[in-house]
Amino acid sequence: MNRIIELKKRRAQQLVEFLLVAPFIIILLGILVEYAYALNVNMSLTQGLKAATANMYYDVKPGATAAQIKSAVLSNLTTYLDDNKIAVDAQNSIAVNYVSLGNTTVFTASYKYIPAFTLPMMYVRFLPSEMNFLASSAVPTAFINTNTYDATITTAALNNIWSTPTAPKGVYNVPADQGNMIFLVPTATANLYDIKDWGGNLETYTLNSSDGELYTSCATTCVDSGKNFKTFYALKKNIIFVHDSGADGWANIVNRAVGMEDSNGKSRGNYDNLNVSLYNSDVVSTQPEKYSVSVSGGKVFTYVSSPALSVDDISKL
Amino acid sequence: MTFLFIVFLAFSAFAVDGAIVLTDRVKLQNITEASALAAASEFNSGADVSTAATNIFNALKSQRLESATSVVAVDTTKKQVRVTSQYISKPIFLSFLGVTGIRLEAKSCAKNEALNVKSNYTGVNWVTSSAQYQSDILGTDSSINKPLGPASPNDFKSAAYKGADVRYNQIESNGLSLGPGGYITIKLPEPLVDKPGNDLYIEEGGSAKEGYMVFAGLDANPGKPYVKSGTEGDGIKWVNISCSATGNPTLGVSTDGLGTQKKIYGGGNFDIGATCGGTLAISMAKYIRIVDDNDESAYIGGVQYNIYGEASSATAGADISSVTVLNHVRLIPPADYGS
Repeated sequence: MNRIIELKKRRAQQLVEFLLVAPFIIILLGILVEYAYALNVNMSLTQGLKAATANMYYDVKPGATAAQIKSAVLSNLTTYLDDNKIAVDAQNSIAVNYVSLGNTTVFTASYKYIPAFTLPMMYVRFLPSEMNFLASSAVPTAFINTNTYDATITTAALNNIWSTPTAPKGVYNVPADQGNMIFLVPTATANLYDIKDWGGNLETYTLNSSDGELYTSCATTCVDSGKNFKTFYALKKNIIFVHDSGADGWANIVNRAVGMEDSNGKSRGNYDNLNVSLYNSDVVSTQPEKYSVSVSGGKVFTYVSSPALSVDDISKL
Repeated sequence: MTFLFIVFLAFSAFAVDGAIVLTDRVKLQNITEASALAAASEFNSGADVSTAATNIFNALKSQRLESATSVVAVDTTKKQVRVTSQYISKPIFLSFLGVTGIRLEAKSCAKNEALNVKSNYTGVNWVTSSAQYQSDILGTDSSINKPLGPASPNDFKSAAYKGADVRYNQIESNGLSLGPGGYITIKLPEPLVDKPGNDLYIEEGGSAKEGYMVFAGLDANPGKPYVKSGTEGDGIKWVNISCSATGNPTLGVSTDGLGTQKKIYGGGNFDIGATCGGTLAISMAKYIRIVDDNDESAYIGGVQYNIYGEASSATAGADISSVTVLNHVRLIPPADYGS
């Protein structure tokens, strides 16, 4: 009987002890929970500002001012905090500011944390009634500069920058330019060259072995008869020499010279990537404006009017 | 009970102090990384990178980290910067046991580099592969030293010979031939931001330096951005940045739809902060459009020539070999500093 009474006394004593300590434990737990939540807010503010500034370019649009960009950062930060279950009420006084340091701009965000549990503050006077958190993040200053784009240059305007997509400029579509191109075709006869313009009109020139010049032989029909090749075509911008062992017609020569196609309908390249090794590397290395390409067993050589063509060049065709 | 309560109190105190130290450590690491990144973008500005890093670090220090200090190391050759910071975190309850401060250290390295924009051919999203003027957004893949265009040439046909059945956008010298008047629009892997010095480099292949225009673009409305052809949002605003090019001649070209525009011959560096219009000023771009000048002229050996017939060749137009974003800055492991 005494033992039972003794146990009951002990339990009563424990209960009294617990009741004495319980308020402190509850207050302490409240402080810990509050502190953990405040810590979460502090970390979220830092991460939220970092995310808001890192993604700032989403909010930068033509004509946006620095104030609008700052407002966008604040909005993104508020959304981030709200998504993370953090109070974004007016009493939290969320604010964003920035200061530019040359090419870098530092954004700062402030947040006033109001503790949810007020009970601990009734017992523990030194606990603050509010906590101010501050976070900072750096971005390029360019992010806050106003972008002023050209109002006339829209994507649609750019798409139509050339009015007729199916008719690009070039020799094929610009007859005036076609007159600046001629074709020099070696014939089966030594030192004799056929000169053809874009329309296929034929002239024949002979290579003079003594002075190395090409002279026309059309004494009666050519306006510039008697003049040598270089003089006659001094104003011509581009000359294409065609050497083909086959008996190709004029149309084929033009197509090959302009389109640079081989007999399989495949291009071997254009003026920029012709296989110069098939022609003469010395000429190319010393006069880089000259190129050659193999075409169906023959060669096409394009020649820009300056510097002057030498006999040596022609002989190597 | 009393003993348990004291133990509980002690652990609670440790938890609070641990949280304080953890928070300080995270914030210290954040500002260290931010100052390293910001300082690395100054390598091409001529400014003192070390001073820039220190200034930015000091500006980023928040209220609790005011006494934090930083030490900056700069490798100007490799364009790397390393920031090492220290801070004495002050616990509350541990101070009762004589622990008045815990030393924290953070280290961060950043590197300034040039980043080539590339895409494998399969990654190029052409609007219509057979349309000569319809190049579209390039894939957003990016890595170093990869050329535009496919790994091997595709079959293609002559413009002059085959008439309307034309396919440009073929490779030439590991580049991408635009075709006469053709264009390509590149959606950059990340926004191109105006930084000190040049921001963009475009390589135009071949010995004949052909002409082209470069336009920088930004979404008119970030809320409705361009996604792809047909889903173009509220469109893109553009500005010509060709006149900002250095290294090769720039001339005017008369276009059909946009009057006279500036163009550049051959490859060159571009500063997007220096636009061709007097009142126009941009600091950021998300898109780059390169438009061929639709002209058969080129610079060869420093002299301008007319190359008649070039527009009718199969790989006509400017030949874009690579597009490089300069001043790209990223973090690298501290152990890689100097390597």
